Amino acid sequence: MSNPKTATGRAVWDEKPTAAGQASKGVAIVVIALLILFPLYAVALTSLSSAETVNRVGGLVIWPGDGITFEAYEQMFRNKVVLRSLGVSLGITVVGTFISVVVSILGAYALSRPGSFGHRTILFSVLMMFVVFPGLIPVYLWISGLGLRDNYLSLILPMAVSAFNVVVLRAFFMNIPQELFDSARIDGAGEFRILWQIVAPLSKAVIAVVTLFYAVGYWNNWFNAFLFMDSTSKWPLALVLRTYVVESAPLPQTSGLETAPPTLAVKMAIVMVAIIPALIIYPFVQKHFKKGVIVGAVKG
Amino acid sequence: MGDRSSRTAFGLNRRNLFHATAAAGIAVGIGACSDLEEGPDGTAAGTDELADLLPTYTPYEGGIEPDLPGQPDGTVTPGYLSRPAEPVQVITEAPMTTGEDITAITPLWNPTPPGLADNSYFQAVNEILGGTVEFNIADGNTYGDKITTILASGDVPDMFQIPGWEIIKLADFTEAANELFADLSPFLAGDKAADYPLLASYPTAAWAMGVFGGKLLGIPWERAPYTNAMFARQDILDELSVEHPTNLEELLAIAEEINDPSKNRWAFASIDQTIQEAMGVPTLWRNDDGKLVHKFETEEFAAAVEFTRQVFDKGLVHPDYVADRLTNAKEIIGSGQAVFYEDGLGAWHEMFATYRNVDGFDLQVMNPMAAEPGGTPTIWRDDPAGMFTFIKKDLSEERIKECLRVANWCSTPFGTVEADLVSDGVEGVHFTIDDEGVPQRTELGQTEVAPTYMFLSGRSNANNKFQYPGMVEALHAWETNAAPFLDDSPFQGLRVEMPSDLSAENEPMTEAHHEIYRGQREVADWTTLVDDWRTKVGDSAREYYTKVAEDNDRL
Repeated sequence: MSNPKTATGRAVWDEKPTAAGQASKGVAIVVIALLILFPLYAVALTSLSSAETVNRVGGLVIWPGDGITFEAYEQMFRNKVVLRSLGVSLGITVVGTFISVVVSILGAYALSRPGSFGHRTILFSVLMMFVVFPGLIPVYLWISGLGLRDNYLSLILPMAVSAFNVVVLRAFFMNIPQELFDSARIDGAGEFRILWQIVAPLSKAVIAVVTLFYAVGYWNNWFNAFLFMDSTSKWPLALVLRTYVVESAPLPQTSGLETAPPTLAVKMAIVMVAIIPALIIYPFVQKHFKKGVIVGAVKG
Repeated sequence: MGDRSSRTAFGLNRRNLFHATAAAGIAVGIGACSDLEEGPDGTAAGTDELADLLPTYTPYEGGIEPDLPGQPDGTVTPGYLSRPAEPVQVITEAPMTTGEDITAITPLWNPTPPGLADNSYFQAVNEILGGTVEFNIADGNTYGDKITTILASGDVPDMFQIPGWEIIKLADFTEAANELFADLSPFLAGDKAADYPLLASYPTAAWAMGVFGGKLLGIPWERAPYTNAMFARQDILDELSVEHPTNLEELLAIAEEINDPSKNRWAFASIDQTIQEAMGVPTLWRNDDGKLVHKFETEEFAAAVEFTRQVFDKGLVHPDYVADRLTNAKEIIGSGQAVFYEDGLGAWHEMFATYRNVDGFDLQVMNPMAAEPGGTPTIWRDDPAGMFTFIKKDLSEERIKECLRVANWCSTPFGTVEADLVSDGVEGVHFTIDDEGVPQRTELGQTEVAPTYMFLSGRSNANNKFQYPGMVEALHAWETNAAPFLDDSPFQGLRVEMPSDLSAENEPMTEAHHEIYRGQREVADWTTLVDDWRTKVGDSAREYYTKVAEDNDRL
């Protein structure tokens, strides 16, 4: 089928855009941007508003009439468990991401080399992970059996390797020209040297993306801690913050004492704390996204 | 994108698959222990036939006398107008004597407290208990996942708090509980409970709820029978010089009078069950001349749907609630954008706590209303116990007794030193008493004290929010007024696990009648919806409930 042509004989996409077209695109982009930014703005502003302002408005604050206050953040961080959990989350994210990325690169590299040991069987097993998951209870029994309950490893091991990430890495590695491997071997390089000095530097984009996937996964994960960590001192931030966000149950108290539940401002402060790391990291990694994911996924 | 993939890789698959595997997992876990028949579609246990299993009810005399007496059947909660100047210590011997720790899993709906090593509240209470209770605290909103996993693994703690609302979601819970938890009858049945006088003071109906599969397994937490009340922003009503309505006609007239969207003020932040109760809709089933009729099938329910539609059509309901029935009506009320809303009674003092800084904020409960002047409402009746503490089965007799002593200690009523420790910690460390005699948490108390020990048992209800002027008296009066109208359910005192297919249809039916309220369906559609429901699950559910009722001589 021939390309649609205009009177000038050029394809429509070769024509100079009309002013109306440009304007409508601009409007669309602004509207989409507002749809994304406005909720974020409302959450941020509510987290910086006083309890009185939030009560008066009856929900999210969208107009900074009464000024800003860091009261909600102070209240949240006054609980030393929150600060401690921040350290736990950072540790789990850094160590977990390192382990995950290293293991995934090693696995993906081996699986990208035709004829490697048990290649087909292992690859099939990895692919099976897309459709078969052992289920919570077997994982719980596995962690308990290993004696890892209340152990930080229980927050890392169950999610240490993602089949999706291994497949993305493998696809990217397979796209590297064979000639590079051949010349390296002629120069006497072994598999490890090829991986770390040739393949890894050429795959920075996809490794950055996979690292981000893992890091965000570890940072956000609360469910493994909910299941496996008995002591609140070892809870990660995501789990601790959940206890602020969820609604208090109307429990009958035996004393006359009354403490106010966390306000909406505190809840929104929690949302901000939870998303800030992703907001900081994303812009730096985003440039690799297209190359890292699309190339890896399509050319596999 | 990264987020999406990570969720797919780590979270969503697991969560989706979880629901499919959980029931099977429990069955596997149990199957490994013994040969059991497949669980029924629902189970029931009746007070009458189980009387031999339960403790003899013995009122506890060691606490303080209430200012406003309650009713032994729990329909009116004893009221306390102030805190005793000197709380009494009612248990002098430390309940833990074996030298071994007690492990416990309890839910949490509050900010996370520090762990045992860094928590002076846990350390102080443990010292008084004479041993260490080591808590494994789990988020209450996802507690069901924890329970399922723990039960399936069989690795239960010494004491395990499981709320009733989670139990009804668990297939084969009765079988699992009988495999994993201790039969308490040998320690508590009849006069044996005298060793645990506070446990013996629970109402018999509450204890009956703790019987699973013919065995007393759970220590119940007594629950007031009321599920719903309508509240009003009294300060707004006073400003408008409007009195409380006494029936639905008056409610509608007042709602139209005070409704003023131009001033950002609607009559209702939420409205649904109050109208059904006023119309006389039963809690769930009604005995109509020997035949069980579900609430959806009653004329009263259809009338309530039609009336509520009118309220919506007249624009008397806040648009957020019209758009989403699960919207946070509390926030709408707190901000004064609506005058009336319905909630559980427990929300009343919470609203005062939340909006204590709002000038003039005053929320009052409204007396139960009938549809017409001189009519009779039906107040829905809740189960007599809502949460249960279970004790691990394979503990030695001495250890089970130790756990029961701890439960007994944690059951001490309002006005005792023990109750202060359970709820608030140590006076002067975790809380202080202000000039008005109200306990106030210290900064340390705010971060370290969390509801934990209170989940190791139940306790008598106390109407004691005396820091809000008039609340104790008003709540006492409300319960006294409402008690005669409590639904005379054919299943009163029975623990009936709702068949899963019936509970699965509750949500679509609730959504459907809310669609009628919002004008997305016609009022006339309700009849068809009920006919479909009856064919789908209603008739088979009636059969099941009829058998339960007949087996317990209720029909």
